[in-house]
Amino acid sequence: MKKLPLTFMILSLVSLAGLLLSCATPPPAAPAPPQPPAVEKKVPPLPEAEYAQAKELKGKVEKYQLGALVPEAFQSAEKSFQEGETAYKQDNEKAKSSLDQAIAAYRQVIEKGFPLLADRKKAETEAAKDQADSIKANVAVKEDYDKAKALYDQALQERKAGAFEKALELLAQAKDLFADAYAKAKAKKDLAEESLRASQEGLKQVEAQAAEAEKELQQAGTP
Amino acid sequence: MKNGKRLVIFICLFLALLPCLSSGQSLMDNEDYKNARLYQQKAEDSFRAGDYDKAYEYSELARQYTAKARVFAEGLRLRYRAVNYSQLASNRLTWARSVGAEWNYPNEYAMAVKDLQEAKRALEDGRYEASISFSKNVLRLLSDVQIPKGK
Repeated sequence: MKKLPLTFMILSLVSLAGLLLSCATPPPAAPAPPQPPAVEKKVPPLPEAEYAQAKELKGKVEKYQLGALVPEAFQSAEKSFQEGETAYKQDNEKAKSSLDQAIAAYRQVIEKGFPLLADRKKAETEAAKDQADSIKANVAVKEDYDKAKALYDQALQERKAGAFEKALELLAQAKDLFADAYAKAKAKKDLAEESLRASQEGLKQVEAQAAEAEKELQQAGTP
Repeated sequence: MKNGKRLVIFICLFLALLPCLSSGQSLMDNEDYKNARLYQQKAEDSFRAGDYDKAYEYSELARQYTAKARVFAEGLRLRYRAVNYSQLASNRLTWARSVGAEWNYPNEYAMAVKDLQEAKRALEDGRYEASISFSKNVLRLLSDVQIPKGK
Protein backbone atom coordinates (compact mmCIF):
# COMPACT_ATOMS: atom_id res chain seq x y z
CA MET A 1 0.00 0.00 0.00
CA LYS A 2 1.24 3.25 -1.07
CA LYS A 3 1.84 5.57 1.87
CA LEU A 4 -0.10 8.88 1.57
CA PRO A 5 1.92 11.89 2.14
CA LEU A 6 1.48 13.52 5.54
CA THR A 7 0.63 16.91 4.13
CA PHE A 8 -2.18 15.46 2.07
CA MET A 9 -3.59 13.79 5.14
CA ILE A 10 -3.59 16.96 7.21
CA LEU A 11 -5.30 18.93 4.48
CA SER A 12 -7.91 16.26 4.12
CA LEU A 13 -8.63 16.25 7.80
CA VAL A 14 -8.99 20.02 7.86
CA SER A 15 -11.36 19.93 4.90
CA LEU A 16 -13.35 17.19 6.52
CA ALA A 17 -13.66 19.17 9.68
CA GLY A 18 -14.76 22.21 7.71
CA LEU A 19 -17.31 20.12 5.91
CA LEU A 20 -18.61 18.72 9.12
CA LEU A 21 -18.93 22.16 10.61
CA SER A 22 -20.77 23.54 7.59
CA CYS A 23 -23.25 20.73 7.55
CA ALA A 24 -24.10 20.95 11.20
CA THR A 25 -27.73 21.79 12.16
CA PRO A 26 -28.23 25.49 12.88
CA PRO A 27 -28.59 26.51 16.46
CA PRO A 28 -32.09 26.97 17.67
CA ALA A 29 -33.49 30.37 16.64
CA ALA A 30 -33.84 33.05 19.23
CA PRO A 31 -37.42 33.44 20.46
CA ALA A 32 -39.37 36.04 18.45
CA PRO A 33 -40.29 39.23 20.26
CA PRO A 34 -43.79 39.13 21.58
CA GLN A 35 -46.26 40.56 19.14
CA PRO A 36 -48.43 43.44 20.56
CA PRO A 37 -51.94 42.35 21.10
CA ALA A 38 -54.09 43.20 18.15
CA VAL A 39 -56.17 46.36 19.03
CA GLU A 40 -58.83 48.30 17.22
CA LYS A 41 -57.79 51.49 15.31
CA LYS A 42 -57.57 54.41 17.84
CA VAL A 43 -60.35 57.10 17.51
CA PRO A 44 -59.06 60.68 17.94
CA PRO A 45 -60.48 62.26 21.10
CA LEU A 46 -63.30 64.79 20.93
CA PRO A 47 -61.66 68.27 20.70
CA GLU A 48 -63.76 69.65 23.54
CA ALA A 49 -61.17 72.13 24.75
CA GLU A 50 -60.63 73.52 21.27
CA TYR A 51 -64.34 73.82 20.72
CA ALA A 52 -64.83 75.65 24.00
CA GLN A 53 -61.95 78.00 23.30
CA ALA A 54 -63.11 78.73 19.75
CA LYS A 55 -66.59 79.48 21.06
CA GLU A 56 -65.21 81.79 23.69
CA LEU A 57 -63.11 83.69 21.17
CA LYS A 58 -66.01 83.85 18.73
CA GLY A 59 -68.19 85.25 21.51
CA LYS A 60 -65.67 87.95 22.25
CA VAL A 61 -65.35 88.87 18.57
CA GLU A 62 -69.12 89.11 18.28
CA LYS A 63 -69.52 91.03 21.53
CA TYR A 64 -67.19 93.77 20.35
CA GLN A 65 -68.19 93.44 16.68
CA LEU A 66 -64.60 93.05 15.67
CA GLY A 67 -65.45 91.09 12.52
CA ALA A 68 -66.20 94.17 10.50
CA LEU A 69 -62.83 95.63 11.44
CA VAL A 70 -60.81 92.59 10.29
CA PRO A 71 -63.14 91.05 7.73
CA GLU A 72 -60.81 88.59 5.99
CA ALA A 73 -59.56 86.94 9.15
CA PHE A 74 -63.06 86.96 10.52
CA GLN A 75 -64.53 85.21 7.51
CA SER A 76 -61.77 82.64 7.65
CA ALA A 77 -62.41 82.10 11.36
CA GLU A 78 -66.12 81.70 10.82
CA LYS A 79 -65.59 79.22 8.01
CA SER A 80 -63.18 77.12 10.06
CA PHE A 81 -65.45 77.28 13.07
CA GLN A 82 -68.40 76.09 11.05
CA GLU A 83 -66.36 73.26 9.58
CA GLY A 84 -65.17 72.33 13.03
CA GLU A 85 -68.68 72.30 14.39
CA THR A 86 -69.91 70.19 11.48
CA ALA A 87 -67.15 67.65 11.93
CA TYR A 88 -67.46 67.62 15.69
CA LYS A 89 -68.29 64.08 16.87
CA GLN A 90 -68.27 62.95 13.25
CA ASP A 91 -64.63 63.37 12.38
CA ASN A 92 -62.84 64.54 15.46
CA GLU A 93 -59.48 64.80 13.76
CA LYS A 94 -60.88 67.13 11.16
CA ALA A 95 -62.91 68.98 13.82
CA LYS A 96 -59.79 69.58 15.87
CA SER A 97 -57.87 70.81 12.87
CA SER A 98 -60.67 73.19 11.85
CA LEU A 99 -61.20 74.45 15.35
CA ASP A 100 -57.47 75.06 15.74
CA GLN A 101 -57.59 77.12 12.58
CA ALA A 102 -60.66 78.98 13.82
CA ILE A 103 -58.93 79.73 17.13
CA ALA A 104 -55.91 81.13 15.32
CA ALA A 105 -58.06 83.24 13.02
CA TYR A 106 -60.25 84.54 15.85
CA ARG A 107 -57.11 85.49 17.77
CA GLN A 108 -55.92 87.38 14.74
CA VAL A 109 -59.26 89.21 14.57
CA ILE A 110 -58.97 90.12 18.23
CA GLU A 111 -55.34 91.19 18.04
CA LYS A 112 -55.92 93.41 15.05
CA GLY A 113 -59.48 94.43 15.83
CA PHE A 114 -59.12 95.64 19.41
CA PRO A 115 -56.61 98.41 18.66
CA LEU A 116 -58.76 99.57 15.76
CA LEU A 117 -61.90 99.51 17.89
CA ALA A 118 -60.13 101.28 20.74
CA ASP A 119 -59.02 104.02 18.34
CA ARG A 120 -62.55 104.40 17.08
CA LYS A 121 -64.04 104.54 20.57
CA LYS A 122 -61.34 106.94 21.67
CA ALA A 123 -62.26 109.25 18.79
CA GLU A 124 -65.94 109.07 19.76
CA THR A 125 -65.11 109.86 23.38
CA GLU A 126 -62.89 112.74 22.31
CA ALA A 127 -65.75 114.14 20.24
CA ALA A 128 -68.00 114.03 23.32
CA LYS A 129 -65.24 115.67 25.35
CA ASP A 130 -64.75 118.38 22.73
CA GLN A 131 -68.47 119.10 22.79
CA ALA A 132 -68.40 119.41 26.58
CA ASP A 133 -65.32 121.63 26.34
CA SER A 134 -67.05 123.84 23.78
CA ILE A 135 -69.46 125.11 26.43
CA LYS A 136 -66.94 125.06 29.25
CA ALA A 137 -68.54 122.14 31.03
CA ASN A 138 -65.30 121.82 32.98
CA VAL A 139 -66.37 125.01 34.79
CA ALA A 140 -70.15 124.76 34.61
CA VAL A 141 -70.39 121.18 35.91
CA LYS A 142 -66.89 120.66 37.19
CA GLU A 143 -67.58 117.57 39.26
CA ASP A 144 -69.26 115.70 36.41
CA TYR A 145 -66.63 116.77 33.94
CA ASP A 146 -63.74 115.80 36.20
CA LYS A 147 -65.23 112.36 36.70
CA ALA A 148 -65.52 111.84 32.96
CA LYS A 149 -61.99 113.10 32.42
CA ALA A 150 -60.58 110.77 35.08
CA LEU A 151 -62.21 107.78 33.38
CA TYR A 152 -60.95 108.95 30.03
CA ASP A 153 -57.38 109.27 31.29
CA GLN A 154 -57.58 105.85 32.92
CA ALA A 155 -58.91 104.38 29.67
CA LEU A 156 -55.92 105.74 27.78
CA GLN A 157 -53.58 104.14 30.29
CA GLU A 158 -55.34 100.80 30.00
CA ARG A 159 -55.15 100.99 26.26
CA LYS A 160 -51.46 101.77 26.42
CA ALA A 161 -51.00 98.72 28.63
CA GLY A 162 -52.87 96.61 26.09
CA ALA A 163 -55.91 96.05 28.32
CA PHE A 164 -58.31 96.78 25.51
CA GLU A 165 -61.47 95.41 27.05
CA LYS A 166 -61.00 97.49 30.16
CA ALA A 167 -60.05 100.48 28.01
CA LEU A 168 -63.20 100.10 25.92
CA GLU A 169 -65.37 99.83 29.00
CA LEU A 170 -63.84 102.99 30.47
CA LEU A 171 -64.06 104.86 27.19
CA ALA A 172 -67.76 104.04 26.93
CA GLN A 173 -68.35 105.28 30.48
CA ALA A 174 -66.30 108.42 29.88
CA LYS A 175 -68.18 109.13 26.67
CA ASP A 176 -71.54 108.90 28.47
CA LEU A 177 -70.34 111.11 31.30
CA PHE A 178 -68.98 113.72 28.89
CA ALA A 179 -72.34 113.70 27.11
CA ASP A 180 -74.13 114.11 30.45
CA ALA A 181 -71.81 116.92 31.44
CA TYR A 182 -72.51 118.65 28.13
CA ALA A 183 -76.28 118.29 28.57
CA LYS A 184 -76.19 119.64 32.11
CA ALA A 185 -73.90 122.52 31.18
CA LYS A 186 -76.08 123.31 28.18
CA ALA A 187 -79.20 123.50 30.37
CA LYS A 188 -77.41 125.83 32.78
CA LYS A 189 -76.05 127.89 29.91
CA ASP A 190 -79.48 128.26 28.34
CA LEU A 191 -81.00 129.35 31.63
CA ALA A 192 -78.24 131.88 32.28
CA GLU A 193 -78.40 133.11 28.69
CA GLU A 194 -82.12 133.73 28.95
CA SER A 195 -81.73 135.54 32.25
CA LEU A 196 -78.86 137.61 30.85
CA ARG A 197 -80.85 138.51 27.79
CA ALA A 198 -83.79 139.60 29.96
CA SER A 199 -81.61 141.70 32.25
CA GLN A 200 -79.89 143.30 29.27
CA GLU A 201 -83.24 144.10 27.74
CA GLY A 202 -84.47 145.51 31.05
CA LEU A 203 -81.46 147.77 31.33
CA LYS A 204 -81.95 149.01 27.78
CA GLN A 205 -85.56 149.87 28.53
CA VAL A 206 -84.64 151.74 31.68
CA GLU A 207 -81.95 153.66 29.82
CA ALA A 208 -84.43 154.51 27.09
CA GLN A 209 -86.89 155.73 29.71
CA ALA A 210 -84.22 157.87 31.30
CA ALA A 211 -83.22 159.24 27.90
CA GLU A 212 -86.84 160.19 27.26
CA ALA A 213 -86.97 161.88 30.63
CA GLU A 214 -83.76 163.79 29.89
CA LYS A 215 -85.24 164.83 26.59
CA GLU A 216 -88.29 166.19 28.37
CA LEU A 217 -86.08 168.14 30.69
CA GLN A 218 -84.03 169.56 27.84
CA GLN A 219 -87.21 170.61 26.13
CA ALA A 220 -88.56 172.23 29.26
CA GLY A 221 -90.53 175.31 28.42
CA THR A 222 -91.13 174.38 24.82
CA PRO A 223 -94.51 173.13 23.76
CA MET B 1 -98.84 195.88 40.67
CA LYS B 2 -98.17 194.11 43.90
CA ASN B 3 -99.31 190.89 42.33
CA GLY B 4 -97.03 191.51 39.37
CA LYS B 5 -93.99 191.91 41.55
CA ARG B 6 -94.90 188.79 43.43
CA LEU B 7 -95.26 186.91 40.20
CA VAL B 8 -91.89 188.06 38.91
CA ILE B 9 -90.25 187.00 42.16
CA PHE B 10 -92.08 183.71 42.02
CA ILE B 11 -91.03 183.04 38.46
CA CYS B 12 -87.43 183.97 39.20
CA LEU B 13 -87.39 181.63 42.17
CA PHE B 14 -88.97 178.91 40.12
CA LEU B 15 -86.41 179.26 37.36
CA ALA B 16 -83.63 179.26 39.92
CA LEU B 17 -85.08 176.09 41.38
CA LEU B 18 -85.22 174.25 38.06
CA PRO B 19 -81.60 173.06 37.98
CA CYS B 20 -82.00 171.87 41.57
CA LEU B 21 -84.98 169.82 40.54
CA SER B 22 -82.94 167.96 38.01
CA SER B 23 -79.51 167.89 39.62
CA GLY B 24 -78.49 164.60 41.23
CA GLN B 25 -81.41 162.91 39.55
CA SER B 26 -79.63 161.36 36.60
CA LEU B 27 -80.14 157.66 36.06
CA MET B 28 -76.36 157.27 36.00
CA ASP B 29 -76.28 158.44 39.62
CA ASN B 30 -79.00 156.12 40.74
CA GLU B 31 -77.70 153.40 43.06
CA ASP B 32 -80.12 150.79 41.78
CA TYR B 33 -79.09 151.45 38.23
CA LYS B 34 -75.42 151.33 39.19
CA ASN B 35 -75.96 148.00 40.95
CA ALA B 36 -77.89 146.67 38.01
CA ARG B 37 -74.99 147.57 35.73
CA LEU B 38 -72.47 146.09 38.14
CA TYR B 39 -74.25 142.75 38.39
CA GLN B 40 -74.93 142.69 34.70
CA GLN B 41 -71.21 143.00 34.08
CA LYS B 42 -70.47 140.28 36.63
CA ALA B 43 -73.05 138.06 34.99
CA GLU B 44 -71.50 138.56 31.57
CA ASP B 45 -68.02 137.85 32.91
CA SER B 46 -69.20 134.68 34.64
CA PHE B 47 -71.03 133.59 31.53
CA ARG B 48 -67.92 134.02 29.41
CA ALA B 49 -65.95 131.99 31.96
CA GLY B 50 -68.49 129.17 31.78
CA ASP B 51 -69.79 129.67 35.31
CA TYR B 52 -73.42 129.65 34.28
CA ASP B 53 -74.76 129.28 37.81
CA LYS B 54 -73.03 132.48 38.86
CA ALA B 55 -74.05 134.15 35.62
CA TYR B 56 -77.67 133.29 36.34
CA GLU B 57 -77.40 134.43 39.93
CA TYR B 58 -75.84 137.77 38.95
CA SER B 59 -78.22 138.42 36.10
CA GLU B 60 -81.16 137.79 38.40
CA LEU B 61 -79.72 140.35 40.79
CA ALA B 62 -79.25 142.71 37.86
CA ARG B 63 -82.90 142.21 36.97
CA GLN B 64 -84.02 142.98 40.50
CA TYR B 65 -81.99 146.20 40.56
CA THR B 66 -83.15 147.05 37.06
CA ALA B 67 -86.76 146.77 38.21
CA LYS B 68 -86.02 149.29 40.97
CA ALA B 69 -84.17 151.52 38.53
CA ARG B 70 -87.17 151.36 36.21
CA VAL B 71 -89.39 152.74 38.95
CA PHE B 72 -86.86 155.51 39.41
CA ALA B 73 -86.68 156.20 35.65
CA GLU B 74 -90.46 156.31 35.40
CA GLY B 75 -90.56 158.77 38.29
CA LEU B 76 -87.80 160.77 36.70
CA ARG B 77 -89.69 161.04 33.47
CA LEU B 78 -92.84 162.14 35.24
CA ARG B 79 -90.85 164.60 37.29
CA TYR B 80 -89.19 166.08 34.23
CA ARG B 81 -92.50 166.27 32.48
CA ALA B 82 -93.91 168.13 35.42
CA VAL B 83 -90.93 170.47 35.31
CA ASN B 84 -91.45 170.92 31.61
CA TYR B 85 -95.12 171.77 32.01
CA SER B 86 -94.36 174.13 34.87
CA GLN B 87 -91.83 175.88 32.70
CA LEU B 88 -94.33 176.10 29.88
CA ALA B 89 -96.97 177.48 32.21
CA SER B 90 -94.52 179.93 33.70
CA ASN B 91 -93.44 181.16 30.29
CA ARG B 92 -97.03 181.59 29.25
CA LEU B 93 -97.86 183.53 32.38
CA THR B 94 -94.86 185.80 31.87
CA TRP B 95 -95.93 186.44 28.35
CA ALA B 96 -99.58 187.03 29.38
CA ARG B 97 -98.46 189.51 31.95
CA SER B 98 -96.31 191.26 29.37
CA VAL B 99 -99.36 191.76 27.16
CA GLY B 100 -101.54 193.07 30.00
CA ALA B 101 -103.54 189.96 30.74
CA GLU B 102 -103.56 191.04 34.37
CA TRP B 103 -106.02 193.75 33.37
CA ASN B 104 -107.55 192.41 30.23
CA TYR B 105 -108.18 188.91 31.55
CA PRO B 106 -108.15 189.45 35.32
CA ASN B 107 -110.07 186.30 36.31
CA GLU B 108 -108.12 183.98 34.08
CA TYR B 109 -104.90 185.63 35.02
CA ALA B 110 -105.59 185.38 38.78
CA MET B 111 -106.55 181.73 38.46
CA ALA B 112 -103.49 181.05 36.37
CA VAL B 113 -101.24 182.61 39.00
CA LYS B 114 -102.88 180.51 41.66
CA ASP B 115 -102.60 177.31 39.64
CA LEU B 116 -98.99 177.95 38.83
CA GLN B 117 -98.30 178.26 42.54
CA GLU B 118 -100.12 174.99 43.10
CA ALA B 119 -98.14 173.41 40.30
CA LYS B 120 -94.90 174.50 41.93
CA ARG B 121 -95.99 173.29 45.34
CA ALA B 122 -97.01 169.94 43.93
CA LEU B 123 -93.72 169.68 42.09
CA GLU B 124 -91.81 170.28 45.29
CA ASP B 125 -93.91 167.72 47.09
CA GLY B 126 -93.26 165.12 44.44
CA ARG B 127 -96.88 165.08 43.31
CA TYR B 128 -95.88 165.22 39.68
CA GLU B 129 -99.16 164.26 38.10
CA ALA B 130 -100.97 166.91 40.12
CA SER B 131 -98.31 169.43 39.17
CA ILE B 132 -98.75 168.61 35.51
CA SER B 133 -102.48 168.99 35.89
CA PHE B 134 -102.13 172.48 37.47
CA SER B 135 -99.65 173.55 34.82
CA LYS B 136 -102.01 172.43 32.10
CA ASN B 137 -104.74 174.48 33.76
CA VAL B 138 -102.50 177.55 33.52
CA LEU B 139 -101.97 176.94 29.83
CA ARG B 140 -105.69 176.42 29.26
CA LEU B 141 -106.68 179.54 31.24
CA LEU B 142 -104.29 181.70 29.31
CA SER B 143 -104.91 180.11 25.94
CA ASP B 144 -107.34 182.86 24.91
CA VAL B 145 -105.08 185.73 25.95
CA GLN B 146 -104.23 187.82 22.95
CA ILE B 147 -102.09 190.81 22.31
CA PRO B 148 -104.39 193.82 22.63
CA LYS B 149 -105.12 195.48 19.32
CA GLY B 150 -103.10 198.58 18.65
CA LYS B 151 -100.04 197.32 20.60
